[in-house]
Amino acid sequence: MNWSIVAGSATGLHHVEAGLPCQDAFAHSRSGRWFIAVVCDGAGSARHSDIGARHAAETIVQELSLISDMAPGGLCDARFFWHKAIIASIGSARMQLKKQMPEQGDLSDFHATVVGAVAGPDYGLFFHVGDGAGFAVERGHWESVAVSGPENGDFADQTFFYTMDNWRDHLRLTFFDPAAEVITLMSDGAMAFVANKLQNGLDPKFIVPVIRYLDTVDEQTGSKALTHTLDSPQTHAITGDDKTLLIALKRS
Amino acid sequence: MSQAMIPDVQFSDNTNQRTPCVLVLDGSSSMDGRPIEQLNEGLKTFESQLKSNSQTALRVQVLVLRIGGHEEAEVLCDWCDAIDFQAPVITANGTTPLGIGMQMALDRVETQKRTYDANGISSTRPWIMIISDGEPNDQGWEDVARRCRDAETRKKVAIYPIGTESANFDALALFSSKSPKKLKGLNFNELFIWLSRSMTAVSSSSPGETVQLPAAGWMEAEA
Repeated sequence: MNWSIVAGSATGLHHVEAGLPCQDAFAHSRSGRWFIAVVCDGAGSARHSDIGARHAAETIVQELSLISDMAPGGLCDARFFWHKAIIASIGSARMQLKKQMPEQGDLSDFHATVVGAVAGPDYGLFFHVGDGAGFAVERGHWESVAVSGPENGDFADQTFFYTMDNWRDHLRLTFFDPAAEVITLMSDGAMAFVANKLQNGLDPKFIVPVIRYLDTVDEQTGSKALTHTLDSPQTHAITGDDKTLLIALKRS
Repeated sequence: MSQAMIPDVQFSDNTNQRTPCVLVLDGSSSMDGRPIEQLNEGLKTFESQLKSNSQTALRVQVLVLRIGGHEEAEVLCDWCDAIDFQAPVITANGTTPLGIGMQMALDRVETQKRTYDANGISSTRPWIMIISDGEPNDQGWEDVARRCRDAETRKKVAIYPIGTESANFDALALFSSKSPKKLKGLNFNELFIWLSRSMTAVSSSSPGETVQLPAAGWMEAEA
């Protein structure tokens, strides 16, 4: 199975005006039969959240890639396998951060959300801590085969991070059918215009022209154009937040 | 082509997010004259400022309560999107039943949150702005003030007490974990411009984000 992967991030105007870096990050890999990707969104309130986001995205993808070939085909065994593997990879990202930071440092300085996807020949799954979203869809059917939606606290300005002590309580796994042909991961900044109003699928007005274009170009060109699209005045008019979108397209 | 946007893409703002803002306004007798005139002017400015930003106009929801009369709190403008907000006219007469007003504000915020939840609408933490020139004089206001601080601690609301020159700042301080702010003269206009800009910042913020609020030029410098 072959996946074409494009991704991009755009720094929100709020962060540009405050002289802050983009606090979103993404990473992805293809490992044997598996496609693995993660999007992280650093908390605006945490001073090193850009580092926390980048570190988590890279570490989790790297660690899951190393063990993906051992993943079982059956869904029952797979649930146990991936649950354990994802906990280990996030645990490893936390441990490495703790080792690297100064003595007086605190993991909360690196707060970031995590939304990731693993897809193989027999099934796919989302794993998720906090907000942002993952949608797995079939082409032409933009309501999702599977959704991993945001988890917020009492209000939309509260969420959960892999750097919290109780992050395991907020880890969610959502398995989906291998029929999914388009897998998207996004930070919450991109959700406003990529997801539909009900947040149960993708907005065709956005995703149809995007996929039509991506079908005609290579990954590098597609990623550049996607980044420019995310960085357009129209998106900045909708939200001042950073915006990240990763799209994986199944190729026959 | 690689430097350009993807062609034909349309962007909709599909965010189902609301930013609730409650004004608890002192309409007691002591506000009569220039203070109430300036407050009413400020409210008109608030209306036009909220409507001048399309995102703010659609995401911010406003509720206006007046306290005054004989220990009364009344809803002058029930919850509405900022785009539909019509600045009410505040009249000055009676006492300052701030406890009754704040209890009503907390109750209305809770009910509105339930409405959001029932309709799958997310919301940012509600702001409650208290604007007063005096001190609370209704029975039991201290208990309500305690409930207000408790609601703040539990991150249910953010409460901003603002007083004019003659306000009892010690009493206002009991309604919030934040220290009350003193209005520079009767600069209500600038206060409401600041509030509208703050609402714009909050309504376009994202989860976990610390929002950078605009400079508060309406505020008297703190010692």
